[in-house]
Amino acid sequence: MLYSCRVLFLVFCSLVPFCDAAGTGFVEPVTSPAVSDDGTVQLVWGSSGGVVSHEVRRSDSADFEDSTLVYEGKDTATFVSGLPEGEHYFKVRSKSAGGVYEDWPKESFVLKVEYIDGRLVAVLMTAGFITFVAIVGTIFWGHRNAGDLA
Amino acid sequence: MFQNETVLDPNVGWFLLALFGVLWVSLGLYWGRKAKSLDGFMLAGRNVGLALGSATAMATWVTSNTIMLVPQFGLKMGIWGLLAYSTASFGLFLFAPMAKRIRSLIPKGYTSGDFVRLRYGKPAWVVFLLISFFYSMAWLVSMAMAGGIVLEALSGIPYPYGMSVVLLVCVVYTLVGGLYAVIGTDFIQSGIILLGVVVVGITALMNIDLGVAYDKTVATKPALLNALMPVALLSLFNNMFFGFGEVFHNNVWWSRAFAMRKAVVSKAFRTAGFFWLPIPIAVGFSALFATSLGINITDIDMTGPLIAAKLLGSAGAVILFVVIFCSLGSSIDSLLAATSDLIAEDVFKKMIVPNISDASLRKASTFIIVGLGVLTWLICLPRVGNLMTVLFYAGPFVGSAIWPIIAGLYWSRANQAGAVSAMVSGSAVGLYAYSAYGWYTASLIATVVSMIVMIGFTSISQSTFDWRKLNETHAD
Repeated sequence: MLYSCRVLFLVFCSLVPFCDAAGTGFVEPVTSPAVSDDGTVQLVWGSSGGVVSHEVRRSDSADFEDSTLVYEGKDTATFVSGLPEGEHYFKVRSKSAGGVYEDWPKESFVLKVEYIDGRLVAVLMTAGFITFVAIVGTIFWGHRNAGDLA
Repeated sequence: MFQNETVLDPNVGWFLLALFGVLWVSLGLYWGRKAKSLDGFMLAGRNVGLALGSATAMATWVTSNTIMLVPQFGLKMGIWGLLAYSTASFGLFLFAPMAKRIRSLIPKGYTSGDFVRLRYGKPAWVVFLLISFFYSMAWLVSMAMAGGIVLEALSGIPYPYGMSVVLLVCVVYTLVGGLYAVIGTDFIQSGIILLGVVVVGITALMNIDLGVAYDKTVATKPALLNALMPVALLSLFNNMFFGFGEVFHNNVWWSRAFAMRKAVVSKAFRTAGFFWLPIPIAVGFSALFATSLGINITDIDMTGPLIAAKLLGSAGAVILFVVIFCSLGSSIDSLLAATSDLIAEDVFKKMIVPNISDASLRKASTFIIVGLGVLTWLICLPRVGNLMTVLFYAGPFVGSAIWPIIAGLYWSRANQAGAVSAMVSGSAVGLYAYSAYGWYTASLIATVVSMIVMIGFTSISQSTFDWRKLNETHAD
């Protein structure tokens, strides 16, 4: 039931340009803040007739100081990657033909990047290395000692 | 689609599809004349030499996933992502000595299922067949999806149409030619793939100012250059074990081991591994610098096509189109042939109609190929999920199969209880890890759990296996 509502909401938001998650301008992700464990996020925003360009910017602070350009152009989505741990704020705005960019929305989309626990990484990497050595050793030792049975 | 332009005109896309589609089907008909017996249809007469053997192993392993997923790995995980993907070649290197062992133990074998049935008995065989079939479908679906996605990205051909045509061509020439057609077309496709990858790689290098690209990447995507990025580090072993599991268990590789001459089988897999190793790097490194090149990635699955189109223009898009169609063809045909062999031999003959003749079994194989094609098409049509999630969901299953296979080949005390427990526990824990920690841990954890269980059961076993029981003769 919840999944169906989410799908319907997404479909509705993609059809209605001015409908977005919490007034941020983005229709995907649907909730803000969103969490990422690998520093990536797919951003999708709406567009209405007459719009010639969109501008997406990112800042590391909630007051959106010192923002960097993420994308500027006619597309209505972008895949962001390579973000370090921490909170990242995104905003999007549009420009019509012959016009200027509208004001930035008040609300930012917030992405929290939280990597997997470092201790778990260390344990899994150690286990992975041991398993790799065991696999290689089994095959090569077995190959060396096996006779031809055919 | 979220982007507004495609590089190629749809008519060009349809022309290329028609040209290569007719070529592969014609070659399938030509080589299919040799496939008169069941051995001919399923195993190309068990007489494939070094050149064809190396080419088919390499081409089969260069799947559309290689071309489409490697740039995604680069875009999400940086340089470690590319190196992680390259570790899939280790599976071919390690399978080289295993293939020789397989030929020694079961000289008249047909499938990987034959080995598991004879080595461990029916319960393990059933679990293994379920794992193998699930993985084979995941692989088929991801490749067919990739075909539709890239055709749409490059030429605007709607996804359902592109995916359907690619699948139809592969089904038809596999149907008419069997493994002779599969291996023969693989040889041609491997040459085209290697040439295309070299051209794409060199052209990308010529178009990228590495200094500027590096500075921009540091500014906008700093984590891609972080050598300690957790996801990237874990994907190194995760991808490696996923590759091991794919190669060690799947009938695509076992059928090739049975098809090649025994004297060349080991060398063929080693050679294939060497040729495959640099391909992910060549294909994917430009994804690291996508932003600095002014390329907007609108959808993660479009990474490769969008970068190629931007860097190489329409000529490059044509090259990429051809390379992907070849990689699709070389892998989908192998998977269709090998999976139908597995179902025909292990399910149809061994479980349902034991006295079936070779001629009737061959006929059954053709129906199974068509059935697999239809099932794949139905699953692909709604385009649920992206390529990475579809494929790596099978990771726990293939990771859990590694130790039952290698222990079964080399340890006489490896037993049924260990094999079943290893596959079931590895798959279960791996699936849990997939949802709890992420796809980049699932194969790794499944393999570790499977190893612990297999070693445990083997060490407490008192009985040893008589290897002569594997030398089963196929009844005519």
